[in-house]
Amino acid sequence: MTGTKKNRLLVFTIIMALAFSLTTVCLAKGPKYGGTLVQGFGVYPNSLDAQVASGGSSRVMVSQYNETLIDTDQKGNLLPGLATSWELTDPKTIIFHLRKGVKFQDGTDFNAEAVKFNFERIAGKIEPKITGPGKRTANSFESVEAVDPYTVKIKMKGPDAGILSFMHGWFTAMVSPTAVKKWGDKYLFHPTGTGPFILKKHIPGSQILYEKFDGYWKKDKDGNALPYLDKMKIMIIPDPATREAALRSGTIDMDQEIAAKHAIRLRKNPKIEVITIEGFLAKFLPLNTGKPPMDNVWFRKAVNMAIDRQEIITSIYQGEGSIPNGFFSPISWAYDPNLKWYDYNLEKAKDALKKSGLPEGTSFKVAVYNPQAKAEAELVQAQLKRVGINMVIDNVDFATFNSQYRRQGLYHAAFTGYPQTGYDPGFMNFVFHFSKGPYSDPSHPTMYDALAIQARSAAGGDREKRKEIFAKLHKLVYDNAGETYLVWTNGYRVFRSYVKNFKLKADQFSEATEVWLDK
Amino acid sequence: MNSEVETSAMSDEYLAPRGLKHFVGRLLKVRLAALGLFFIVVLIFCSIFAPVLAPRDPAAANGYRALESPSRDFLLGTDYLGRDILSRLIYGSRISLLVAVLSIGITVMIGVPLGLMSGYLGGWIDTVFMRLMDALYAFPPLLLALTLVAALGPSIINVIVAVGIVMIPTFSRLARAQTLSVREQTYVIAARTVGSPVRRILFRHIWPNVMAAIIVQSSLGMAVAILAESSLSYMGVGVRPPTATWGVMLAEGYPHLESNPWLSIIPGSAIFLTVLSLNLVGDALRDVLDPRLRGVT
Repeated sequence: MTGTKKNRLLVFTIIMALAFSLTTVCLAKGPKYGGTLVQGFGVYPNSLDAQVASGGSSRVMVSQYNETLIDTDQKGNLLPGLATSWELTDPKTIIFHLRKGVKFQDGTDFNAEAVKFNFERIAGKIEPKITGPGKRTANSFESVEAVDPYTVKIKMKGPDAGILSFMHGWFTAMVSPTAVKKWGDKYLFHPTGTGPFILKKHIPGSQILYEKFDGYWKKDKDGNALPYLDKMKIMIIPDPATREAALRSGTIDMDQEIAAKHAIRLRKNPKIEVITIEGFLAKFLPLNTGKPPMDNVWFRKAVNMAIDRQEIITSIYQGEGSIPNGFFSPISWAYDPNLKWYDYNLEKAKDALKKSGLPEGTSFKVAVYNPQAKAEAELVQAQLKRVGINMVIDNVDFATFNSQYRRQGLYHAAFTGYPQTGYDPGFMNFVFHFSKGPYSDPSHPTMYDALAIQARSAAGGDREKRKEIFAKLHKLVYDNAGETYLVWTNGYRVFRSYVKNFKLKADQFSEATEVWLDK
Repeated sequence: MNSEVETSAMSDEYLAPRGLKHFVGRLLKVRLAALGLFFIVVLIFCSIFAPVLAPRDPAAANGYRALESPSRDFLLGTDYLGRDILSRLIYGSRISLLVAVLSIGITVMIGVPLGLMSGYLGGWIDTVFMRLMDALYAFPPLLLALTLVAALGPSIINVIVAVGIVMIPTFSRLARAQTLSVREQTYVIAARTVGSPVRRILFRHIWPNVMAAIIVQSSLGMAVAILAESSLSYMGVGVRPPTATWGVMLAEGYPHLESNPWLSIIPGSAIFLTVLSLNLVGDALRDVLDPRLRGVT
């Protein structure tokens, strides 16, 4: 080795050592303040008013400025939020002790009166009246009482094991009573909460801009003020492929709605991190068991056994996903590994169709309202054809389906999916033909309803006891082949690697409260 | 009456001696048109004998063999549900041709008589019909078709009706314009003088002279109809699954454009070649038919 080469090697080693130590110093440094986080989403929320917004991505957008009494972690464990503690004094009474010193973004105090106002608003009792996902439960409260400025007592009409879970739903977020009174029916354009970000600007269908709220109450574990970010921007990009490209180019920093195909592709990109949430979405077909030929239990069994679920996973979900054994996937505590569902078996399916007494070529009609479900529907259509069942697919608009077709019972089934979360499974009552659900089973409504109510009101919310009731409910659905469970698909969250502190909540979405950018 | 016989004989004379054989012969002399015509004939053959030609059931899915590249098993590969692309392409030609022929049929049946009457009769009939056509014309064609299909419901018949209606103004205006010049011809005036009924004048004397332009426009219109069907199917308002059409195939291929481009390229090329062929034939038809028309006048 010549002298020059040796020298070069020495210089190289020194540079490498310096670079390494510099990186270590950087890594050791805590969270950085400042910067703008840009998130991409497919759909603009139906309302910016948290108590009106529907689920999914809307909830991420409203939760930046609105907070709930109870917070959660990914597993659904309850954490203090705007309430520091709570106690069920009896199965029908719950007392919340509120956090002191919290201010709304308009400078007014958060206190027991504000909580009382909020629950009345959620119940639709305050002008202008609203209707949101929390209305039914809030209406079932007998009274909401402000015991003192920081204590609230809620009396329920009956025991409800899901009540604590209800209290961390985005639709029970606390909004400023002053702002509601000031803006009236224009409140949705001026949402005001206690959250870490203030809504600064919104361009309907396109963008939402947030700015840091300086008076935010929460501190990080070292006692530093939150949030770390100065600004946050949400960009609506409906096409998933465009969102993927935007993430690759760094136009957006995060995508919490990405589909399997794109996420799997992004795993190879070293600058992007992909979080996989197994069993996030339960795909299923609720069956309209009152409408012939779907009223025939053997026909329903034939449909269930003719579906090759692995084929769906392999072709549509790139092999990622699992075959369900019931409604609740392992994400939910209500998941029970001992349950079983119909296996794919062509011979048995043909046999069941024979037993049903219906001829080969019997038709039924399904509604499909999203592109991913269209692919599933076409594959299931081809699978059912193998046993001689003819499934007709209608592409329909979701709003029309929800408001008209479902009530009219126009279809025998619909391709749908329900996110599996750390939320209380009581929310999923409707799946089990609860009489207020998408389709009710006229032959068994009372049995289903009785069990569903039992599961929800089980004394003290003892999970093991409720699991037993869910198992009974499952048995009933199984014997009647009252559903067609398709697959559990994965959820994916992707972000650029400089996005730090990405933490999922019970509904498997991340807020930006503690996120910081290492740029 | 005598003069009427004479005039009709006169127009027949120009069609008869030259005949179909002569006409096709002249058409084939235009080399590109010959190529286009050949492609269209192949297409018609494919669509008629689709069940024989297609190697597989176009709707039979096999999810375990989804998105395969072309191989001996699947000559053009498989789509995202493992269906044979070649079979879907062959069956898809049926829908495309059906839409092309039937929607042009509807357009000609409605639009041409309207145009003939407007042009020949004039007056308030002309005003009413043409303002109606203007109103139809004012809508962006695809939007109008989309609205019609949305209102009527997704089915191939409704697509045909919608596409047919959308093209009516073009045809009726063309027919009217042609009629305006033909009705001043001496043989038309003569027929009118001897008291021929309007219907007879329209269909016996005027129509044969307008026909050439309509034929040319029809071949071009078919191309438009195929594109319209593809666009409607692409947007998901066309046919019901699992019916294969080129537009549906194109739409289904789009999400896989990066990883499996052939899913879109194959149906896209089919649409492109068919439309190109129809346009080439249409252009050549114009060249072949126009001088003959000049001969008449």
